[in-house]
Amino acid sequence: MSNRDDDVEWLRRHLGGPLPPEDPLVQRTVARAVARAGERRRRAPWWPVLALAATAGLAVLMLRPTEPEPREMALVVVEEEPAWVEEELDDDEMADVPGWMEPGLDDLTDDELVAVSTRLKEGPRS
Amino acid sequence: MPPSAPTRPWGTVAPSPTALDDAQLCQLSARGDQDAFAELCRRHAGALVGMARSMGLSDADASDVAQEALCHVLEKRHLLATVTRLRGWLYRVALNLARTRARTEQRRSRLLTDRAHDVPVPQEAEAQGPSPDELARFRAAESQLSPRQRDVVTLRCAGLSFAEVARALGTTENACKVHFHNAVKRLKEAVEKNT
Repeated sequence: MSNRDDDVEWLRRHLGGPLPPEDPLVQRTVARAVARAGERRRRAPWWPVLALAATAGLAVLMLRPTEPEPREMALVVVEEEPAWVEEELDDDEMADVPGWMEPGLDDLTDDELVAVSTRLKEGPRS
Repeated sequence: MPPSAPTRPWGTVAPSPTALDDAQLCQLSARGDQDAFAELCRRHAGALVGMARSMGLSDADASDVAQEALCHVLEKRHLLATVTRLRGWLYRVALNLARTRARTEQRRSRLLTDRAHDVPVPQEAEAQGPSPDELARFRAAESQLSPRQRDVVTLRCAGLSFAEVARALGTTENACKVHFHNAVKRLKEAVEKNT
């Protein structure tokens, strides 16, 4: 079995072998590897960044404005009644919307208000 | 059992990194000793660059692979501190990095089939003389080797013993010897076919 060193030498003549330490390419490689290792060592570890991001996320969650209630949102829509309502909704259609014919918005239940605002948001059908 | 860390009594001078073995340098590097890491780099950079070049990488890419491999092992400090045989680990990392880089380069240049003709001719080869035809036949035959045969040949050329190659590739020494024997036989047949 040819495990001899001269086989390795023969292979190196074709493939190339280790470069000597004084080779400029090797010296450049060493210098850059040491510099890169130094840079990585100086680089801040990732976990404080993650902790900071998590804290900031938590603060945003806690301080974010609370969403308005569905009734408040629906009221905003209904009170700004668009012009097409008068023109395009006939009485039957209006009657399909619970509570539409009674303009006293305070008397409407939450579900009715939401149903009205949903219909208004859909816009004209024609 | 990891080797004991180089310790010294109070008032004595620290030994030069060049006087320490790889395992001791690994331990010091893991503790942030830059001189120790620089010595490790000096010891292994030439072989790592040569190995990456033998896999068809340009000088710049080979240098980059060697740097990346050296920095990679340094980053694994928890392992580095207990390393007793650095070479197998380091050269395996470099082998994988070089292979990935070579694959990326091949994809980029879309010259998979003509790759053999583009591999830079090693300086030693230029000096000692395999002819371009021989080199082409060698490269063609090399590309036909099994991945394991190619790994064994590459690591042996980088200077690793069969035992180190076996550890690096996670196989047995005997299996490595068989792969090496078969690879060399095949390559020699290909090179000598027309001479």
